[in-house]
Amino acid sequence: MTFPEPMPTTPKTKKSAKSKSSGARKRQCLNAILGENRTLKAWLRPGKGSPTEAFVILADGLSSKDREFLASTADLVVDPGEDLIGLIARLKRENRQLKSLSLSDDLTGLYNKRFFSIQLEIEMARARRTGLPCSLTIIDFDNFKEINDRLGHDEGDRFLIQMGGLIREKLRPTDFVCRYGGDEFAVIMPATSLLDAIGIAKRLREFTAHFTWKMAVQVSASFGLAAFEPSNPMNAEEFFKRTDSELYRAKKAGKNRISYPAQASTQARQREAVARDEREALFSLETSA
Amino acid sequence: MTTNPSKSPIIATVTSGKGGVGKTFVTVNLAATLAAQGRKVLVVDCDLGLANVDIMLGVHPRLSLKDILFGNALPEDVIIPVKGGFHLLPACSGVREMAQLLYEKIQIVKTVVLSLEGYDVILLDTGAGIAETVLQFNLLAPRNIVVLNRELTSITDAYAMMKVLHQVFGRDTFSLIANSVADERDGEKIFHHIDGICRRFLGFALDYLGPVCRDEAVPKSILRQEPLVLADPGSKTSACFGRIAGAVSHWGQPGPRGQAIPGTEVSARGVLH
Repeated sequence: MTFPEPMPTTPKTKKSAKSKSSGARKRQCLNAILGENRTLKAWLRPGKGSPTEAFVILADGLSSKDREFLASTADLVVDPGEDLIGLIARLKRENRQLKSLSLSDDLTGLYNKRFFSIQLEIEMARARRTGLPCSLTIIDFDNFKEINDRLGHDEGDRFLIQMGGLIREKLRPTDFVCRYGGDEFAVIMPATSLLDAIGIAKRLREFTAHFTWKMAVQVSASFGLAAFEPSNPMNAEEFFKRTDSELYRAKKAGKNRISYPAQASTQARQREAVARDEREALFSLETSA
Repeated sequence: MTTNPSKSPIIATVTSGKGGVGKTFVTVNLAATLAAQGRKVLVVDCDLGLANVDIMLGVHPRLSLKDILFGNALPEDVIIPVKGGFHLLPACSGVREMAQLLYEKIQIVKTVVLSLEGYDVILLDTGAGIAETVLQFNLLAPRNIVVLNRELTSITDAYAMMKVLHQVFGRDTFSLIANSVADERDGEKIFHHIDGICRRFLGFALDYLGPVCRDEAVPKSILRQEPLVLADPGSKTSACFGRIAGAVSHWGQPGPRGQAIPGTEVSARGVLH
């Protein structure tokens, strides 16, 4: 048996040319094996999306070996007499179950809320083992609703994908960037003190501002930050609430800002260990009474 | 004086901001003095990376804290009696894994120390500085004996350490020993100096256990690997330790400072995973 040469194509773009030629080649090969009248091409139009090409093989009267081989390469096998509606219903149900087990967000490809909840528990347990603090940042875009309202939901989605990508790109490989829901992103930063997290949030806010200033709708980002110290007996829910309340403070204080627990400013003072006036006092031993 | 195992022991760390100010010398001699006064005393070497209480006492322990931590031995197998009439739970020197213990392992050391019974006084000889291990051991004990001398760096480092413990963990339970001072007046001057600065900048007062006066016999006793108070009980230094031991014994008495010492309720919880 000889395989026919692939049909010459005139590609419009590189990508479509590649998929077209490989699809066409596959069809020609199968036609050669099965005979011209056993295959057909159909177009399905699921929802509002562009039509998807479906390649259908009519496989009755084949040897069981051939059937098995074809079934192993097919996306869907329908037996004669099968309850098609029942099959679709089952697939839909399974799809829903899979979605509920999924750890990634459909729109942005980032981790989802489910992953976030699992990972936060893990990172807090790790902090209790290692003694290293773990920081959490929740980012919310101010006036995001206006993008949807004025520019349409597609534009809103595109904005979220771009911002998600930007946050992911600017953070470190050990951070977990999750889309918590809507226009809210949550970032788990293991082995990161609050002071480090504040520095990162400041830079992130600058990056987002640089990105959004040329947009038709005025959008900015608000950040809520908190850190988990292993000596502090807080659970994951309390940690999240604490961070979320900082986000609320940032929003309430006028948006487009970063909010974190006040204790961080005392920690900043400790960074200089012994301040200058203390040092001067300590050095005065010989002159003191 | 008889021992009362049901009574909880006096637990104190002997610590310093800077190394080489005589921390281990003070620990060993204070322990020997307390033992001579009839107390059952345990010294735990908590300088996990570079332990040297065993060297001060001229013993070569077969087992150490490391063997407890990694599950090879029980505390009662590791604790040994030493010169001076007290017990020692030795650590090991030059083991890198011990120098950078996971936080979780530090909690296990704390649990082990708190589970030891039958002692009137437990002294924890910590490393110097503000490394997490040192801070954690200082939190374990209701009292922190801070050793310093006349050197400006030792005073500054002692202050920095107390400041961190105070600002991060709310501690104000520090008792000072001025080591290697010329006389009582000199020790008092150093104490009042740092006490005044603590009151002014940190808002709490320090406690003074007393001076350890400079003595020619000290370097000799260290070379002989023997507590000075044993070799020369009549010396000026031994008298100093006698007074300090008396003050430490007092901590066992119920009093205004005896109860609800800040920091203990956190550390006594003991986390084991």
